[in-house]
Amino acid sequence: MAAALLLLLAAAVYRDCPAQLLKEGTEIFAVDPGKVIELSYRAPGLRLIASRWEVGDRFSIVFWEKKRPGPAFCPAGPGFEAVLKQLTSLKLRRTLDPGRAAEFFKEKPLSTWDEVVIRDDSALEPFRAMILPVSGVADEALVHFHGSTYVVAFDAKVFQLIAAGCKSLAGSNPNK
Amino acid sequence: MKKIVVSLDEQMVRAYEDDQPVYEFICVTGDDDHPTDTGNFKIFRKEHPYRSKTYNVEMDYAMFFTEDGKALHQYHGPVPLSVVRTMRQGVTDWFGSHGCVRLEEEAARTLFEWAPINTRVSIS
Repeated sequence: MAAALLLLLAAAVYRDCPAQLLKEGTEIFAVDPGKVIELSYRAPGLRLIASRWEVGDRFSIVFWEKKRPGPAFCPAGPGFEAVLKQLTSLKLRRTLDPGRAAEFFKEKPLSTWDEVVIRDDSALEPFRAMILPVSGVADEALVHFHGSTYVVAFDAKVFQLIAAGCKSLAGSNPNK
Repeated sequence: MKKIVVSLDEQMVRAYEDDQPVYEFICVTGDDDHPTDTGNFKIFRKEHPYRSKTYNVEMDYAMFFTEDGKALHQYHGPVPLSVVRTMRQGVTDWFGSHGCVRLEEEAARTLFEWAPINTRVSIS
């Protein structure tokens, strides 16, 4: 009884402090790339899926382009490693406040953004985020997940690597 | 080298860099039915904000260290964590978590900013 009263009293006087902003450079999402078993990336007109049976294996890539009749297949190489490194470490530049984000979404709805899904070998739900290049900026991108929108440090060359598919993502096939 | 040490007896989290103490925070860990794993781990995933679909709860500033999803994260309950911690230690274990290490918001944010992927976590 006394415990319940204490809890009620504490709840009554408790004031939730306003959320403070994270420091620039903080990884708002990061996962050990060595634990990733699947990465999928969807953009208008293309889709990439890179997966492996278990950690330590090499990734295999399937890449579709709307303008081509069938998918391309290739083993992952250094190009893909660069993509994986970037997408598994998203470092904060600044947070977009909800009002500014709502205005932005009117011009550029989330349904038009690219989508990235990263699954690791744990029992956790995969990480899923929407991502958008910042026009004319080579080192930033917008990222939206769990209702928050961030500007993150991002090498725009990664978008080019993904768009080029197996031409840029593949390594040599060890079976050949 | 950075390291986070969780003391289940004390319900404390301490952070060290090159064996020098950097931070010390109160925490609340698992109850008897859902004990926090003991041993040595590494943070393999960080995510903020985060919502657990398993428990349908917020787990902001989540830093995961076990394969089944145990993490250091912000406590979001209506009662201050210091009160919950006192109740857990002095009244009933019922006030414990489901195995995660709950932290006050400022503590969770500070550790989230400070600890990179692969930071060691030692729990005993």
